[in-house]
Amino acid sequence: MTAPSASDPRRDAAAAAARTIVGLILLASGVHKSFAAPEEFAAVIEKYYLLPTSYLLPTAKIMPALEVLIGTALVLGWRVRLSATAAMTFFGIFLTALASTKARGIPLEDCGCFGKGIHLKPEWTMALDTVLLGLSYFSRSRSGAHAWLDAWIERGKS
Amino acid sequence: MPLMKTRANRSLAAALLVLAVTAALAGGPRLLTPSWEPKAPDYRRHGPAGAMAVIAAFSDFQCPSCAAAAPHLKSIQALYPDKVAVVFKHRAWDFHQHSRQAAIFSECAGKAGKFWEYHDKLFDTQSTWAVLPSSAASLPLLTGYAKELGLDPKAIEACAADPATDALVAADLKEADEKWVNSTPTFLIGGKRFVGTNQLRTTGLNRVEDLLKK
Repeated sequence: MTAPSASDPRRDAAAAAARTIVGLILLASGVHKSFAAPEEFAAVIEKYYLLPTSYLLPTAKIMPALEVLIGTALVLGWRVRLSATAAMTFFGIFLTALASTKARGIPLEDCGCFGKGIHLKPEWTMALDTVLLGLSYFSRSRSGAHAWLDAWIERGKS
Repeated sequence: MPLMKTRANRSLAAALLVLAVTAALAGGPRLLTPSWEPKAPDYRRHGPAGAMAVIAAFSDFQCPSCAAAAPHLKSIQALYPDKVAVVFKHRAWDFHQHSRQAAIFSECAGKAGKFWEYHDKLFDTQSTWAVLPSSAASLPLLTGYAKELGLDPKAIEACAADPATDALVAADLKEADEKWVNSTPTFLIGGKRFVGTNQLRTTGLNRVEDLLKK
């Protein structure tokens, strides 16, 4: 476990900013998908050829909610180590899925990552996911930095 | 001791806050997508009047996935010819330069009693007219297809130029926007939504068969 150095307010501020950016992007992505029929997102996931048909719609319903949950937790600074780890897992899964379509020669016009309306080429999404993975790791390494809800809980009597 | 003084209570409150925000942001929008039965002129309906299952197909004549789905839709109807009807709804995309014009011509063919024949013709020949560089270039082909079906080309062109015909297409597009139909082809079967050929021929067909059992 990396002990955050308490005497580095600039790094703490940077970690808090990174956490907020990752959280807001996850929130935007999840909310945007929630404002569309899950069947549409299921049709996008289907093009990855990674999940059996019966799992597509449940995944399309759950994934936006998870994105919103993790995004909210990161923005509010709740359980930051866990939330940042979850975000890293998410971005890791996205990257693996996108890389696997590349490796299998499956053409994806739109990765579906942000729902309908925001179309990103898979290459751009992979670059963005890599940056977000890095930011999540950085947030996790300084999980106590300006974590609003965690700090409020910590101030409570045991 | 006030309720929010202890760590345990604060932990619980924080968890509830995060869950409440998640439920509102991720679950709330779902409540805004009501189930509805799309309406269309009679010539865009194919199948028996008292069909037990009606499939509303939101489609775009220039969309390759829609062309690919059309035979599957026919197969489902062929399985239950006396029980399943299909209603065609226009979802012509702005980014497909020939879509709107093709939709308008299909309306004119429909008014002349040949909607479904023209529908099939457009999908069968999609790779010919959809690749042309402009709407002006595809116009003679669209008129030619109407002529091949025995329709009067002059009457079809006059109908296509009539703003009332475009208004019929525009009404469908407005409905599609309002009901979050953001993907083609989208099928509504008994109030449930299915997107793309795979969903139509798997879970969509299951939905049709469920409706037929009722």
